[in-house]
Amino acid sequence: MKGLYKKDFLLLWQTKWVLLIIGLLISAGLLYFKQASGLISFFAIFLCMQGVTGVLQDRISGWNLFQTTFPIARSSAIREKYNYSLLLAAAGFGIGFLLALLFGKNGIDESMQINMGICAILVFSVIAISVPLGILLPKSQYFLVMLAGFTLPALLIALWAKGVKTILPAAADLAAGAVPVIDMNLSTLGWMAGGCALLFVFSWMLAPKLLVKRDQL
Amino acid sequence: MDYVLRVNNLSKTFKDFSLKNISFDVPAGSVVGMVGENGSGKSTCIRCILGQDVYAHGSIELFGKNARDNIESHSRIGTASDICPFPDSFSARQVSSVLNDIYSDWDEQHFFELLKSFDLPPEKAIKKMSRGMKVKLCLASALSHESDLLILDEATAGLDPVVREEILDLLMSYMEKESRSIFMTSHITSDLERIADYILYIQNGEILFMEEKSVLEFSGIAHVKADQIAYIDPSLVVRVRKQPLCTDLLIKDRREFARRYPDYVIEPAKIDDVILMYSKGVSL
Repeated sequence: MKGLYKKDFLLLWQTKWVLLIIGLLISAGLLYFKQASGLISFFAIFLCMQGVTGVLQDRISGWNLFQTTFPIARSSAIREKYNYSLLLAAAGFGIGFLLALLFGKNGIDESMQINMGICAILVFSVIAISVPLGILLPKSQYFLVMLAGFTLPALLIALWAKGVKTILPAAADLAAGAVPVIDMNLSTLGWMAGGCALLFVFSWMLAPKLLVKRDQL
Repeated sequence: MDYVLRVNNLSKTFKDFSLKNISFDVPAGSVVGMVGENGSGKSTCIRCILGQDVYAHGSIELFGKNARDNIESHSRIGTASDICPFPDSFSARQVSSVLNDIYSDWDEQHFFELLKSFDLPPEKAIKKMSRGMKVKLCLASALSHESDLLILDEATAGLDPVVREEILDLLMSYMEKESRSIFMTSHITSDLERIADYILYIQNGEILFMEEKSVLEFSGIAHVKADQIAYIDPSLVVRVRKQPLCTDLLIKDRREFARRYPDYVIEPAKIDDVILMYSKGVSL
């Protein structure tokens, strides 16, 4: 198993400059618009996608077939992709979190909590859906893998955003100078993130067992 | 006799093709060459052996154990095909570094010795290698972890004769250790004639014959006229193929045939001839 991780990390290392440049450009953009907390979800999903798209890279090179000749069960090799993507997402989260703390100046504020929630929704659901679909669907339909992977988190985030509401103070308080409060619906975001984490766990446990009953494409 | 690979009644059905209850063995210490037309089922068979395809019926044993339940047996298998499976951006050194963490008995020194003997630079990116170099790299990786069975799927396809010769030499030196075996598919029957101990012919998902090469070397092709067939002992004839001017007979023992029918024309059969007779001919 260690060899599979090593191969994936070596491939990632070979693209380090490209990743670094993209990371710097997006970070600069987010900081310019004073959205330091956005770095958390950006870096997490950016690195996570390097793991998820590794499924396609393996299929293009023929590595996915070659690895079945190793003394490693197919289910373990599939789980390696889940673990690797999650590991990269965690690393991305760590980088983003540190940068957000460094440049955000407000500590762990509500904006950071929102981004952490969005990050969890994106990472868990994209891995849970895109990794097994990437193995299951033909190479030519890989766009569907990405589409399916991002549809659920997009829907969830839209649903959460719909629940964000402005609470106006009573007229007397308003006259006294009270300001409207925005309820960011954080509890819903938390529940959604938890649900996506559960989806990830189910996918991690069940998908490899089901995929090994099918021919390796 | 010990077998490193046993395939029993293997069946696998696709939309437009099926493997039909195929059975064969690869005895320890032997080279079995599987030949067949494109789409005859050679690669499907190998995919089933390696666990890439899930088969409906039958069983596959590797080193005496069910291949499905004993993934550890894969540590004794080396594989190479016509596709180099390593990432293009990797060098041979990086391939070794990865495989070192996959196979517990990876022999890095042997790997680099093989690269040296192949004139393969360890630092060169795979994308810059020629097809011959890629095949050599795949073989070097297949031979560097004490494998007892090599499974080669069209590994020499598309290579020039010089490189093919080098690879055949390498395979022959691999076979110097008695316990080792090779199961290979190839379109190039001259390669199989050189190194195979058994020839297995598959057509439309069915095995038409598996014969020792030494037995095939006794066979012959007799060219007879239609009225002469009636005089020939049917037990000597394996297949019959009608040609425009004569009829070709695949004869199991050409010496016996020549002794009994000295006036008839018979010549030694090559593997290609035998395959052609099985493919296009009929039983008597």
